[in-house]
Amino acid sequence: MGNAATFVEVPADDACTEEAAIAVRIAAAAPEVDRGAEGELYRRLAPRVRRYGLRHLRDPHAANDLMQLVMVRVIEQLRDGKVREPLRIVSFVFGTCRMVLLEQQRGESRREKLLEQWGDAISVADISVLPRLDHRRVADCLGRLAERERSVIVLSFYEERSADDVASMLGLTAGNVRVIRHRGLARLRDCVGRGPT
Amino acid sequence: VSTPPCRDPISFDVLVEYWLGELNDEHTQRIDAHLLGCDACGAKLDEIVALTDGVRGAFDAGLFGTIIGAGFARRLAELGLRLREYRVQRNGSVACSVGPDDDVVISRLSAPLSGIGRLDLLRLGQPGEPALRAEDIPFDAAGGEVVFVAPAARLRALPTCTERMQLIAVDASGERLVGDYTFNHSSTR
Repeated sequence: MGNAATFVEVPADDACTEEAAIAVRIAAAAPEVDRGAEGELYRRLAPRVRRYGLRHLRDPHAANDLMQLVMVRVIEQLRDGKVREPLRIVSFVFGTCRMVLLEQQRGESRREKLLEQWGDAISVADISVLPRLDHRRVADCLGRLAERERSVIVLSFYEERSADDVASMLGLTAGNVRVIRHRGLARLRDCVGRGPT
Repeated sequence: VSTPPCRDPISFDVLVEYWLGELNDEHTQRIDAHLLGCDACGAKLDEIVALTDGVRGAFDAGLFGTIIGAGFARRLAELGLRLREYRVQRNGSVACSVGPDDDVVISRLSAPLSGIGRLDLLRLGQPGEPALRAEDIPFDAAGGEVVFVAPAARLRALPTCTERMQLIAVDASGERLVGDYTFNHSSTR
């Protein structure tokens, strides 16, 4: 478990040649270690894996764990020559994301062992930090929305609830919630993006 | 480092649907795969994540008030938040306050709401404060109440005072007072 090279189909448009070229460098360097290439691959792919983790785990700490595990495993398998097609590294990462997510959900994670073995070689310090918004600014902008927009946005995003859920909580239809959410989000993004006035 | 443009960008609305779990499994996986290869669309998802965090943080800090409905009030209790709730009968009053440990202050205004198309909520201001009117608020007519979260940060700053709120039905023929509610607030400062 966890050692098999896994590919998942990714549309051709999603293939990213720069990442593929870096993966080829890592694989070609074996048994030597190309730390520069590994660091570059990590810097490029780790934020994307973290997004996957945030979407599917809904927890920043769990998403960071998934990010580290996936990237350690991908680099480990590139070093070991177990990635059959390094040019398709993005699809390999996707497959690894799904596998690690399943393992995490089953409580089968090899986290400690993997991070003990590889953690020193991988630096998480240099990947991009998720953007954060000032809460007072967000509150000020929410205060400028129409009441329905504010209610729908709060209920939608506080716990990441679907339009169906929000509709049942507010006595609206799901279609109505989507329309209000679209309008409210546009105004909220515009206000937050403009900065304090 | 600039982000290369996406050749097949995913719209912001679809990314919102993806983030909120509204898409089917196949569509979700297509977007998962796209985002693992595309930083431009990933940056849009980062914005959605930041908005989510911002809304949650501002709500938890009691920085704004909003209508929430009875279902969300129950959900907040299930999440373990410390709720202080006040139920006010139509044309009634309540003695109220907010403590340092309260996470959320919820008010429930009882009213006969069936048959009403548009409902406005009016907060009559303190001396020197303008009245605030929230137009066309969401409400559950069958439940017979309007449930809202008051901004705890503002309540904590209030002196001992009285505030009034009114529910007003609006239709083509004009406006009608549905209920008048008085909050006798005790400061805990």
